[in-house]
Amino acid sequence: MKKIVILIAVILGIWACAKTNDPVDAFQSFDRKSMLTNLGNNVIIPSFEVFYQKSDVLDLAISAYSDDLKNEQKLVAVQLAWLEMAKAWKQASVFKQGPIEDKFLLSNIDFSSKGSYLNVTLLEKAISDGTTIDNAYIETKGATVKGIHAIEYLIFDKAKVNANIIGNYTGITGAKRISYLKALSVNLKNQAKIILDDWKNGYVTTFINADSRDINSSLGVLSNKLIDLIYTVRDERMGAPKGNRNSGVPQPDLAESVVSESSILLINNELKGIENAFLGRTPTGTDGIGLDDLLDKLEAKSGDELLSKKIKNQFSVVYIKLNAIPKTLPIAVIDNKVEVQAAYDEIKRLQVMMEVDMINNLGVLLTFSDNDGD
Amino acid sequence: MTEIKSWFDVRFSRFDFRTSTNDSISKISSSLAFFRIVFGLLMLVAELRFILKGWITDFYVKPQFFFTFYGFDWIHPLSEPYIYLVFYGLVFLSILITLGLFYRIAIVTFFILFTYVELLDKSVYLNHYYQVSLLAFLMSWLPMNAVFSIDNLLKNRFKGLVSNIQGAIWMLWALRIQVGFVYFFGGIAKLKYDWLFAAQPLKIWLSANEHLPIIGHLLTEKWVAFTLSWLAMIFDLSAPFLLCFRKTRLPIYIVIVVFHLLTHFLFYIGMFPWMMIFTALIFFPSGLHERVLTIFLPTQKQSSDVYTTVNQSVFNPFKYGILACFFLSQCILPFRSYLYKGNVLWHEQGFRFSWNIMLMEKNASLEYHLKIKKTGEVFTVSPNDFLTKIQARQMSFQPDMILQFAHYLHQYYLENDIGDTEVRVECYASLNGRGSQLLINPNIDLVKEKEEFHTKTWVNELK
Repeated sequence: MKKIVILIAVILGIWACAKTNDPVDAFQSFDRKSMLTNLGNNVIIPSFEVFYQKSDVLDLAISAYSDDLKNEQKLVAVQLAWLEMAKAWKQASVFKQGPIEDKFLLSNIDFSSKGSYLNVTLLEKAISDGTTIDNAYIETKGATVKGIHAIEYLIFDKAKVNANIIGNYTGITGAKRISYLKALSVNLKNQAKIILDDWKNGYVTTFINADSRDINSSLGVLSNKLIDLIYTVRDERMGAPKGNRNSGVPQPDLAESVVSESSILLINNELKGIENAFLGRTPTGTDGIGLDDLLDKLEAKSGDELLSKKIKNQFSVVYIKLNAIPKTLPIAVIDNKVEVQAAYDEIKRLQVMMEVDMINNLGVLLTFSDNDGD
Repeated sequence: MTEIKSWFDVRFSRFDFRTSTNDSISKISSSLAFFRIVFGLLMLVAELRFILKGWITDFYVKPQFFFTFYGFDWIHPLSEPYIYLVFYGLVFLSILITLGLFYRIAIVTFFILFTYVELLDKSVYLNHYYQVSLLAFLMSWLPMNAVFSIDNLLKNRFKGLVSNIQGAIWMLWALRIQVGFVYFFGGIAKLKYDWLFAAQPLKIWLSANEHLPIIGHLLTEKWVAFTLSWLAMIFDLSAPFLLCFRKTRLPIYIVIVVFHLLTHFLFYIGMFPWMMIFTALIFFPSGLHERVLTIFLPTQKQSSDVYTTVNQSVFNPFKYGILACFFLSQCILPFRSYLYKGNVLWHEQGFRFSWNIMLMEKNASLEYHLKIKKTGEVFTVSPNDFLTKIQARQMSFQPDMILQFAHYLHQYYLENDIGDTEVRVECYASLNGRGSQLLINPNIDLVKEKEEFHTKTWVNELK
């Protein structure tokens, strides 16, 4: 019996060896750990570095404006700096594992709950109630009155009339308002600094070393985050304003960043963050080892095509469809339903490719608790 | 090494099919006691582990909906705190079984409680829980407390604790067959295209263990996945037979230990490896079991008067009939999936209770689209809003559960004054590295479909 087993093993071994001469041998030289190393050092840390820099630039712009409140040019500079910061944040926001989650920082930066991003009434109250309005004051406040959306609300005007904004800062409560804006910006910069420092000073090692396949492994958690964010983009960013929660009747107010008219821009950048993680690509566009290479190494296919290629193409399709929406999202959900639906459907396809096809090949565990499975 | 081997040979050769002397009866009773103690200890660990991991709350308290088994929808979880008492009860019963105290009541109650828990929710179905239920049922019919038990010590004071039916050779074989079934039918289940010719899901799972020292790099090699797939199949099919012969017993047992330890380190399969490693010991000769027990319990040797009334010849047709049906049904159940067209791993008709162990990496994305008949309004429901994450994940790729939940949603919206609805699903699933495809026909209103043994025509064929 033993001889038979050995014989079969040898035959199988030879047969299988003979079959391993395939074109993807070039990829065999890396393992999951080197992918995590690239993601940690060259994608995640630089992403948070850019976010921190942009939050610093925003803070400087706000300081400059606060000294010259009637200067529209300086206000416009603040608005532009905010957009750059928001783009950088959205690109980094998929990397929630580690400092952001451990220290509950997300709600300080980018609160959202079922299509609600801000509580304007509470925000105005926080401004008028304040006596000493500084970072410490912001620390005591809840998630609905701070972060990127609170800043956005204070520097943009829905009617796009900058004079209205300037009027608010130069009016009776103007002093409190500008103090609140400055404090918000300092607070945001602090959050960015904490995340960056934590990643640099230790967490990146934790991230790289958690290279197994269990529920707490870096790859497992990251996969979960990628899928969660695609789902959020589809369901909250697009689905909610499109009317998914309202029997198909659009609810444009549920779009993100209505006041700065940057809903679609931010969606693009959230997806770009996911794409960077997938490709192992730095914020400046240098490609490294990412999930796409791992899938190639595993010879993951979808039909006859490499799965990695299919997902890459799908990202392009999604961007094309998103940019084909001719108006801002809150208007487009009413006026351009066809284009919005087309983009939505392509995001759904991307979601399926990553959530189903990609995960199936990675073999990471995604259920929340340890399981006793067989 | 040779010394050890000859020691084992001498000991193991004592086992002989033909003996029916009092001496061998005493040894068979020792084997039964050995198995009882092993089973009791395994269950004690398993239940404590379940409790300490907080799974009672996660699996049986948190969910608002439970996926009952076909024909068992009358079984419901007890509310807090009674559901906890069930598990504390199982711990207590495991201790009684180990000690051999009030054994008969303990094992029957254990069987009922354990099976009750397993029938509560399909999303927690595991093959080795099924095996526990089967073993407990079988053990309920066997006198496993005749020796090395507190019952035996107390038998003079309390009549009826130890039955006068003695250990018989068939009892040992009943247990061996039950343990052997897991391997044999597990091997049969591996005779599938994916396992043998695509080395799936091992290819995926082994690659995912690349981080392991020394062997990690090997695990990403295709030939390793193929070799292990075939070896596991051959191992499963042959292990129960090799365990029966003196010459092959020890070598295959060593393989069993190595095999299960490997699965323990590579995969997350909880108690299963330990259960198999320890229950397979029943294949060793009774003399060894007795020796081991005597080492741990030297004062527990049975008094000779146990065997003054040999009652073996009493023929109980009822009992033998039940046990015959018990084993026969187990021989048939694993093959019922062949009555359905297509790949059982995809449509999952006849998948459970068939020893389909570790055969698939399958995942899916699932959404329900509901249409209110009155108004024609359409809306989408994400199962995550109603189910726990484990339930939602388990359901996402199992057609019968998808149907159950469709009916639940239909009922839910009826009761919440939304009215009558049509329920359709959009379910993309991926099996063993294949590209995703629609698992369920998205045009079919599942409200109109019933759970039944007929082919589920609303499940798409695997392309």
